[in-house]
Amino acid sequence: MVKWTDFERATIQDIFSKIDYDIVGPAAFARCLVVYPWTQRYFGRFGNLYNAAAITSNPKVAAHGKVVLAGLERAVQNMDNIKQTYAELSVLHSEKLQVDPDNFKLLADCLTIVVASQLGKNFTAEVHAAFQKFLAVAVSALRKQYY
Amino acid sequence: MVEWTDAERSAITALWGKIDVGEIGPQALTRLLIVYPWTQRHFGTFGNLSTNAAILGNPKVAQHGKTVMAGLENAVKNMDNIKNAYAKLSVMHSEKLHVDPDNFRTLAECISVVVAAKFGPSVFTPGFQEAWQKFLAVVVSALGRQYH
Repeated sequence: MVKWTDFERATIQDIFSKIDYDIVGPAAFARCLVVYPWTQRYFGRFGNLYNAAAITSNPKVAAHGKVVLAGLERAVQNMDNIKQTYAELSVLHSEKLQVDPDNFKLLADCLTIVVASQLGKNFTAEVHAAFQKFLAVAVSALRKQYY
Repeated sequence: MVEWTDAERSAITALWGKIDVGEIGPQALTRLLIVYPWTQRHFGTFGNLSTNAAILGNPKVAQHGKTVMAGLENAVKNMDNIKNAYAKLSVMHSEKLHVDPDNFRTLAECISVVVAAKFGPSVFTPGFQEAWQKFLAVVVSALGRQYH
């Protein structure tokens, strides 16, 4: 089971209390589609993803970014049980959505960039390490039910 | 050969113009050593790396961060020929330093995070991030090229 230090727990709760989910979710998800364009293949129904401007102003992209961050909130609230919390989500992503699990890391990286750019110098190396660990655990839990 | 759009070229030049290698370099390297602690194994001669505070205050780490970041200048100046520009550095990292090339990618991520934190989302836009990460990916690939 994952062990969290007091610092790590406090840091994760602090980050998620400071960020605006309605900004960070859409921003991270849009960046994923811009910076790693092959990820657009999963979003054929989302309309215009033709260039960065279209992606960042696309309302379906924004809505979906919020959905993703709401999913991450569940891990924030169940830090000692992320694997179980995400078991159904993992099955959904593998069997129904058929998402290549390598993409979870790409989205996690974009989330790190967005949070870093929001928090600026408050995103210290130690805060970064705690956030990185949290995302790695979330990604691992999402991968767990893939064969 | 890598194709750069005009937008990507100007994004990279714009970002590079804003970056202070003496500031960004040390921050990126200290993050690498703190967030991915196994990377400390390459720096046995650097003295005290035993705590985060030690790493953040270590002058050899800071100096080396500057060196590494300044090395990117070569890529910025030779964007159409990064592979050749980095051939000797690649040989050095593989044959002399024995650095696992996965670490290049990890350091590139740390550089991007530091740049994002420094400049914020209105400068480090999605378009700039795309260009910058592509640039770093090309550098990482060039550095890994001469490994057997």
